[in-house]
Order: sequence, then C-alpha cells, then structure tokens
Amino acid sequence: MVSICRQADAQLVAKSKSMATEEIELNRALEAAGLKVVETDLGEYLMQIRGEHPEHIVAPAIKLTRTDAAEALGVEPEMDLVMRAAREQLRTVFQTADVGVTGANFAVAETGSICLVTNEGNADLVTALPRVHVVVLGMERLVPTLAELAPLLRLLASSATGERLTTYTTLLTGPRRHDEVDGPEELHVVVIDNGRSGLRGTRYEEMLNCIRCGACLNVCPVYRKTGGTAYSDVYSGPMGAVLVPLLSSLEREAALPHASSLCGACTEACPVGIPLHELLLELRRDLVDRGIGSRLERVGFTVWSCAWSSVLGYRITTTLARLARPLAALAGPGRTWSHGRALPRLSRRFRDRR
Amino acid sequence: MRELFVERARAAGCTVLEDGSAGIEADYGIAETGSVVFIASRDRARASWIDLEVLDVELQEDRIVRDLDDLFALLQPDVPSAVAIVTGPSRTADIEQTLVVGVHGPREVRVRLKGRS
Repeated sequence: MVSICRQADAQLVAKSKSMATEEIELNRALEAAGLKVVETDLGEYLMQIRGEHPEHIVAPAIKLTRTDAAEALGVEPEMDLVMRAAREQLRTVFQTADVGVTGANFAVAETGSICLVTNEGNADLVTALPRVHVVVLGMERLVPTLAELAPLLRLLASSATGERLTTYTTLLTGPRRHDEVDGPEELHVVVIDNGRSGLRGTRYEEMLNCIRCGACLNVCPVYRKTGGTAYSDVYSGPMGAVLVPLLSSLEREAALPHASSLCGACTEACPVGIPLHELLLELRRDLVDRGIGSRLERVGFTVWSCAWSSVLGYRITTTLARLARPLAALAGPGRTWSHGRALPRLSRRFRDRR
Repeated sequence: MRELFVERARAAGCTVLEDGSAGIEADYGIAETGSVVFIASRDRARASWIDLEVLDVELQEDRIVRDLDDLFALLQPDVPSAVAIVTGPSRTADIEQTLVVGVHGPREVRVRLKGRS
C-alpha cells in the first residue's frame, strides 16, 4: 500500500469506511510512511479527530453526542452547523486527495467488479475524485456473479439500517476508461487473507459468510451494556467475539468467547444464518481442550465433577455446604451478597427443591 | 411499475414530480427500491450525481426496471466502469442516531418522471 502511494507521489489519502483497513491497521502504516490519512465517513472522521477507534462496525461514533461532534469540528453544538462544517472540511479532502482508499462490501468474480455501499456518499467521492483508487478486499467478500449480488445487497441494507437499499450502492469495474471525464487513472485491488483461508473446512467456516451488517451487535445484551471499546479489536459484538480469536489467536483473545450470555439473540438476528452463539460455545470448548484459561477454574471443575459423580460425594458436599451456610455470610462474595438479605437455604436433597 | 417506483422513491426521501424537465438524466430507475441509476460515460462525470447540494433527475418511464436483478442483467456483458444506484438523499445517523441529510452529497433528490402520454 505504501509503495502504491509513493509511486503516485501521494501526500493526502482519503478513506471511506473500511473494517478491513482497520483490521490491518493501515492508517498507522501509511502515517508512519509520512502520508496524511483522513477518514471521510462522518462518524469515523469525528473518531479520528478525537484519536479514537470505531466503536461499531456500521455506526462507528455511536456514543458521540452532538456536543462531542461540535467540539471535534470546532463549531457550536447545533446539528446544522456540525453538518455544514463536516461537509466543508471533508470536501477539501476529497478534492485534494491523491489516493482514495476503500474497502469492498462485495466483489464480483465474473466481472471483476467492486461493490461499495454508503449512506453518506463518501465512497462515491473517494472513488471519483482522487487520481488513484486502492481497494482493500477481504477475500471472503467475493461472490461468483452479479446474480448473487442483489440478494446480498438487500440483506445488508435491511439488516444494517432497516432500509430497502443503502443510499449509494456503487459498482466499480476497472479504472476510468479512456473517453471518460473523471474517475481514477489507476485502480489497485489488494486482497487480504489475514487468517481467513485458515477457517475454510473448519467448524468455523460459516463465519466467512458474515456481511458485516452489525445486526448481531444491535441485539446483543453484552454489547449494549459494554459498547465497542470493551472488545479488544476492531470487530466487536458477537461477530467480533467469534471472528477476532479466529483471525488472531485464541490464546491472546481468550476472554472474547466469554463475552456472551449465549442467549442466541445474535444467531436469530443474523441475516446470513451464522450460528454465532454456537460458535462462541465451540470456541469455549477449544479453550478447555487446549488448556487455556484460569487454572483455578479448571481445578474447580475437575474437583466438582469428581465429587458429584458419586452419590456419596454429592451428599457430603451438599451437607458441608448446608452446614457452612452461616459462615459463608462472613467473608468473600457471600458477605457482599448477604448485606441486607439472608443467604438462601440449601435444600436437603435435590428432589426436595420441588 | 411506475406506481411502485413513485411509492418507493418517496419512501426513500426523494421528491417525485410528474412533469417538467431539468437536471441530469438517469440511465435507469428501479421500482423495487425507488432508486435512480447513473452510469459514468464520456458525457457523464462520476461527480455529477454526488458532488452537489440538490440532485435534479429526469427519468424516462420506460427506463424503470423491476428490481436489482433486472438491472444487473441489463448491465451485462459489458459492465460499465462505474454504476451508481442512488436511493434518496445523502444521509447519516452517525451522531446521536439522528437522521440528517446532505452530509457529503445532495440533501435533496428531485425525480421528474417523463414519457407518460
């Protein structure tokens, strides 16, 4: 990417929202090479000014208020003024950028086309005005022919923003042709794997069907409470909790498979039918199989399964628990819990609970 | 198809007018989504449908296709370098999840239907 920009003698790079470029930390690499990189999606632009990373794969600045936005742009906190300031500031970027960088929502194998969707129209400007256009394409975005594209575009729009079709749906096939008035002189497509091909043929293969609509984030009780920054990577919510450990390493992201209540709302919301909560459970199984995680937890479960595998063990432990109940209120979590209420009484035998 | 186009285009935030002529001519309309379609060419800059405040579109009624699938079929085999399917004005809900129009592109899209006799 850096060499493409150098060859184009570029100074300013305009980007439209792309999770793939976030994933490979492209901005950092380009900036290290001395280039100025500006995000043109309004939410991402604001997050970039604030020195933050996107919080949601569809609505990157979901937590910002208009006061935050106004502060970032240096205007009064009126939505009108914010919009006008953003439009003006970014217009200059579109017009002076040497290179435009986009992701690709889909790519069509048969025709060699790139399909981009935005509601703001920034991808259209990024691909129309700069001299060079570079596409960063996640390899799983490919569909065989244009016939497969239409249903996916409908699914993406309805699941991401509840629309029939995203406002700007653009199909780009090659650079500007010789008699055309504008458009990039060069079009480069960089296909990224970054761990994706390793998922083929595994139990996690279905994760490659993800169209990044964000529906699973919106319905996830964990995401809704914690927000995107609580997740360790650019992808958050259920899809991120599945994808990030798979793309990087389960060892490093051992906490993510646990960032779920396994309620299954994500699986229900997923327009392409990825069994997200089941995949999270699979990942937890892998964690146990590979001995990753807290030793205390492992020892605890081993002891528990030994004890409760026999009637005698079950009786002894439950009797001990019953006798120790008054003590439990004196220290540890039992003490906090029993502040102002009594610890529940343990039944004598399991069937007595009825 | 015409009625469906009008209904869906209005739902997407366009103003649809029955007569008059102004602005740029759309290559196609899509009834399913209420979209207008622009194709880059020698006389049609890519900036022409996006780099403005108000987009005035003229659409011939017989250029309205049923759905996306029909449009994609028409584009083949020689797929143009840039095809933009525009559904309503440029919009965002990035701040406070409040819908605002005209963030980069037009804040208003006016479609004039032509050719009904």
